[in-house]
Amino acid sequence: MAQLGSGALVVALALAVYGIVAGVLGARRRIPELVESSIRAVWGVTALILVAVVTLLTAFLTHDFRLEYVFGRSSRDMPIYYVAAAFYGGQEGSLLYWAMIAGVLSSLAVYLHRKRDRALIPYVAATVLSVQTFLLFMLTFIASPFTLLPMRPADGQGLNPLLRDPGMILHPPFLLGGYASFTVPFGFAMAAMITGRLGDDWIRAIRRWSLVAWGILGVGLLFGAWWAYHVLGWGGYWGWDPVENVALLPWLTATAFIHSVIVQERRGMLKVWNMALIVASFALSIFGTFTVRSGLISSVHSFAISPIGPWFLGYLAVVVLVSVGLLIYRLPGLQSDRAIESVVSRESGFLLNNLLFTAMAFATFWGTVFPLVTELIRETKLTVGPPFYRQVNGPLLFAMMLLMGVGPLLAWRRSNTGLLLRNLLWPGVAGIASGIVMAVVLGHILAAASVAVTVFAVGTIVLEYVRGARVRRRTTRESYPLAVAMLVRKNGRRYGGYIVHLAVAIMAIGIIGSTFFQVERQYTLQPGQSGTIGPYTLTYQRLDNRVNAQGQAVVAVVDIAKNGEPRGTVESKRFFYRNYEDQPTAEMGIKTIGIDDVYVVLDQWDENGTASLRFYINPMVSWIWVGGAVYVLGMVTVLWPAPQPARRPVTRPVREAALSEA
Amino acid sequence: MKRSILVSILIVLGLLLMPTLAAAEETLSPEALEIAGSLNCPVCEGLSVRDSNSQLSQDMRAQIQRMLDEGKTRQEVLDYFVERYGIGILREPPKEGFVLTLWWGPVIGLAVGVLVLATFMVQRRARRERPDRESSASDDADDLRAYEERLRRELDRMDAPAP
Repeated sequence: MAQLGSGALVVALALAVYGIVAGVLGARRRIPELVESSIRAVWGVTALILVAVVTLLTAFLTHDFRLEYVFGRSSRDMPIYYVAAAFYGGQEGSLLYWAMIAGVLSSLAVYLHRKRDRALIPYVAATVLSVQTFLLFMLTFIASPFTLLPMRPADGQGLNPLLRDPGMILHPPFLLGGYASFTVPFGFAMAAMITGRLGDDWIRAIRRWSLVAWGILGVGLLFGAWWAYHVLGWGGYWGWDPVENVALLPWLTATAFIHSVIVQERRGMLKVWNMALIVASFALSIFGTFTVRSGLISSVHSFAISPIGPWFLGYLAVVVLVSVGLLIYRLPGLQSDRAIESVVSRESGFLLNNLLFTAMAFATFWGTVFPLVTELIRETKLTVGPPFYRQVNGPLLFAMMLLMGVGPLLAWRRSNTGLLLRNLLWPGVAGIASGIVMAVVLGHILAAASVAVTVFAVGTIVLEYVRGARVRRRTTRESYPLAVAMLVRKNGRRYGGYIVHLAVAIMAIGIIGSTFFQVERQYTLQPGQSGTIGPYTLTYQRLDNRVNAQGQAVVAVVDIAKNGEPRGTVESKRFFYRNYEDQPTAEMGIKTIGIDDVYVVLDQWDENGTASLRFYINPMVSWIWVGGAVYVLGMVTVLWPAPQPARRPVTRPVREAALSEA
Repeated sequence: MKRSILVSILIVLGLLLMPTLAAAEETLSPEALEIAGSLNCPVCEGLSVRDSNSQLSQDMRAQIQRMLDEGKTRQEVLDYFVERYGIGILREPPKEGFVLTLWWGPVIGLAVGVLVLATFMVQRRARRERPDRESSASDDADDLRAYEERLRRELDRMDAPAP
């Protein structure tokens, strides 16, 4: 079994190297057969990686503990879904997973674009294969998941307890998948720079692929937040932990890209910038993988430390050097076709958006690596915790929300200021009114101002839908709901984008509520005693000791009453898994009552049942998860293929004409 | 000699621990929790003293509460821990000395960004080849209809299939 897996990887490595040579040679010497061969190499490498994946999964499911990787990460008593998830529970498996996602997506991309982007494809194939070469080299020589133990142990050690959680089944594959998906846009960017075909082709080709990567990574981040909220017990969902931060970085640069690429499509500007953003997103994905795997920066994720860090750092350096070198070489070809005409225009709105997103990425990066810098230079250990990010990124988020409210109303090239102000009137009034109401009700100016900008942004979105529907109705006489539905269906990119904006606003409400109005109390209670927090009375009933196949759980049972009225029971648990007794994990007791999450943490306990419990009220947190669902909806809408209109033939001249009109 | 040092350390440790164990039964006040939340657990990875379950953090929480009960202020408690564990114990690094680089970094970054953006805009506008001959009249018409007209044109354009 193991030989099959490692054999497949070795053959894949050789094939990848061959494919690079074939692609480059084929393109240079104009030998179509070699180019075709290189494309087939992409597919072949992916097929071989899939063979290795299936082999490893089979080894897990059949409990083949001869494999060191299987032995170290699973055991017979684990439920089957955790056994399967253990596949990406360690560095070797997660690298294999990375290679698989990169392989599947690049195979698909090469298949879909091989006819239309004939000139780019050989170099796209060569680039993605060079990424695969690095990964396969690591998987073969540095971190093989198919290393055998001298004998077959009877049972495995089991998965790291922190990973035995539903959130952990979902968070790593999406996050790693998001990282890996940036391989495709990166491949096209490199191909464009190598061939010097810097026109619209590569931008058109990667638009969807960058959206896919951005979407998957976003979902991964959300699952991570959800996991942290349910398991880590700090009462929050985002701790500005270094590994969270580095995962946020490519998402931020990708968000900047999916906005600024619109400017390039419509106005032929920002070519250098867009190229840089794509390269940065890919490089930051490598950096993210590297940080979680190197233990470079102290983090809650440090169970994943391994010696592959230096290799990743080296690869990262190569990627950055090569792409920056190419970018500088191609600078003359990346001049803008047109100029900015007015400061009050959609173009400058997008530019401002990019400024804010890159500023946030920079601030987050700066805070994340700063302790490293001080340790090297000043030999002082320093911690950059949540307060820094709150104070620095908070104002940036505020400005983003404001811009999100103004941006959609700006016209391309030049906005009529009077018209713009009139369009902003109602969202502005709604925002200011809700701000005043909130200031009176909550007595918190900062929170009220944040609510005000959020309502303002939502106002603009609603207005955009109403206007769009009205425009449709004028020609089609549809009913309003149908008009809105058709609007979204036919202009998925624009109106799906607004759905994502709406998701951001919903999440913003959740973030405002939980950041400014979290309440926390700590009580040491005997069974039967209760503690109060806000309008809630929490009665500690008993401490249960439950044993199951995987280990044992200590469970505090707590009754919740609001204003004296019983509102149900929660259980806050601590798990002690076999082989990992010194690493207890937890599942928080969470009950959503109205807008509040009542959140119970079991801190300490003793044998006669006295428990030290921490209670939180986290207002509005459920809005973040709702916002997450809306984000997915918006992402799917944006990606959903637009219907083919029968009245307009798809010819390039027409499109060119339409673009030059812009 | 060595042994006696070891023994005395153990005794001191024992003395340090004893009141803590008793104090662990005490409820932590919200202020103590807040202070614990702003301190970094010295033996954990990326957790605050408030959120860590390590023995040291439990002791530190109790210590914070005891100092508050003695009438010490928030700043005095923080200073006490900084003196013992160094500046790295604070989750919010102080805005002084070389740590100012941390706080000013993003501000400078943003300023540079604004500068680049401003230069880009000014330069681009100066280089504009010719006045805007395609400027449609409707864009200037001070009317909501103008906006809707523009939207209609944009939607029409987007009706073209995604390439």
